[in-house]
Amino acid sequence: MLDRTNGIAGVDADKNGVRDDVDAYISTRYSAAPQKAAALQVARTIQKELLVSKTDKPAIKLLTLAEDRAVNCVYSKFDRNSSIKPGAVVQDIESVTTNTEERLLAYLAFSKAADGTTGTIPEGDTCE
Amino acid sequence: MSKLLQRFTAALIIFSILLAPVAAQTTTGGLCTPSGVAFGFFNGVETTSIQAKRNLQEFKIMHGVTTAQGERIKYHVFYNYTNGYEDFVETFRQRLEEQGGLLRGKFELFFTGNKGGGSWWSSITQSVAETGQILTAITDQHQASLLVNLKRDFQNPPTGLKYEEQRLLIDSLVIEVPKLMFVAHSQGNLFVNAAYDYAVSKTPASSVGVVHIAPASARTTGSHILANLDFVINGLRPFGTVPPITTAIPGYPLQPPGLNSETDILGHGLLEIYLNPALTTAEEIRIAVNTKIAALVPSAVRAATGFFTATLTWDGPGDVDLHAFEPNGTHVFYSQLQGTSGYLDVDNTVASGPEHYYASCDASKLLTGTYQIAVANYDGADSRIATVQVSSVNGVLGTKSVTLGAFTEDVPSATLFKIVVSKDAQTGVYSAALSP
Repeated sequence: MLDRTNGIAGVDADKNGVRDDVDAYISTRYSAAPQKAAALQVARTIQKELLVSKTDKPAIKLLTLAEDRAVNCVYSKFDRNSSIKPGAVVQDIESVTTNTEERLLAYLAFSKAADGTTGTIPEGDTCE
Repeated sequence: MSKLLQRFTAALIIFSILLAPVAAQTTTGGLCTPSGVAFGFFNGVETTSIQAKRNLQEFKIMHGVTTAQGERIKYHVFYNYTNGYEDFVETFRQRLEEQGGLLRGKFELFFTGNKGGGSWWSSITQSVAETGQILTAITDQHQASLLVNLKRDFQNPPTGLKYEEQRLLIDSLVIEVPKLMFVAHSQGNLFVNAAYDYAVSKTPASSVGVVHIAPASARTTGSHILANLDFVINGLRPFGTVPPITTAIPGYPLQPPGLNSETDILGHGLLEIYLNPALTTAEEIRIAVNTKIAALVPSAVRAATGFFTATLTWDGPGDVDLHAFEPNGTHVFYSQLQGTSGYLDVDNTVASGPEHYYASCDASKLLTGTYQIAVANYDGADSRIATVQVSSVNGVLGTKSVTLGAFTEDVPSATLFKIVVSKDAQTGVYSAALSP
């Protein structure tokens, strides 16, 4: 059950940077520990994007770099020929993390703030 | 020694370095490797930043990390946001209120609902039939909204590169990488044309290629792929010229799920349609891109790949200098090209730049600690806007501009970046990050 209360941040009782309901979703959805960790890395990045000041350009840039690493991690832990494709993982985490109007608008505002940036597929192991 | 003589000596050194085979730039020490091809992806309409990164990864899977000719491919995304995308959230909310509010507040259905459904929607509509009407209304209204947003730029395409970070990245790529391969989807085609024009003003057109996917642009600068049932791009036809259809795809009910396990009723999604391995579009794109890369003529590389690099450009005539201060205090600039860690391998004394400093990829040379990147108006560049971009092997770290004052010759007037290079004591992995 996704949480729709408590503003943009929601409840993160274990302070791992991911809403507890998103934590629970990830635990249910993905079984292998490396895959859970990769999904959590994406969730943690998006959660920061919801909360960052959309006028803080250096912070926005840092988060776009975190996106590069998180997405790269997902693609290193999920096989696109398996039942759970990496492209679907990113989309699912994006959807559950932006599950209210307030969160969705904050999220789109982040992408708007990232307009004109660049990204690069990073080298090496980018999983946290 | 006069600056003119110093420049001449420096030029000889740079020339001698550039005469060395490109392979000589393959540095020892293993911290980074030069690329043979820079793959630049320009994302489509209504794509979030992280979706653009995800889509880039799919291109990497499709084309690999080396070409058939053995050239290393490095992948970049040039992100553009669709103005007005956020306006559809209000419409979406209103639709969720319909049918007695059966789906009230379920905004996690936004991204897939806009494309006609998907796995979550299937479960819902099979359980509660009335929600199917909500989905239909969302999809219909979204198509109209998307066309409005796309039509705006389609009818008034950008005439130049409007993003500083993207411009500087191209400035760096054209001097560091022999081939540039641009691929655009949907709205990204409007931006790729401007990027192509800019790139070929800096490097031979024979070394820059473009492939257009679902071009939302009357103008194309390379081959294109457009599906017959792409209702977004073909929906633009009443408002202007759209390139011809190249490929037939099955109708929505027969559409196989794409690389994100979803479908797209609009026939336009990159992962749902165009890169979907079950549709012929994917193979056509793969062949078009690989063929173009193979046909490109490598340009002469003028700058080395670095563990991190700094590239300086400015907006007109004058002599602006790039200065790097390495952790041990070594001052690298036009008069002292060789540092302890790095080297100033591109110098410009006339106009616009670029100038380029790189820190070595050789772990035995790369100093850990704080580097500073500064600029100076050596002469004749009063009031010029100087822009510096710092990149690591993992992408652009930052881009900053400064308006220059009166000339200061060899004395830097503005420090734009501090870069901390560190080595993890446990893993031995090096990293570069900006410092405030």
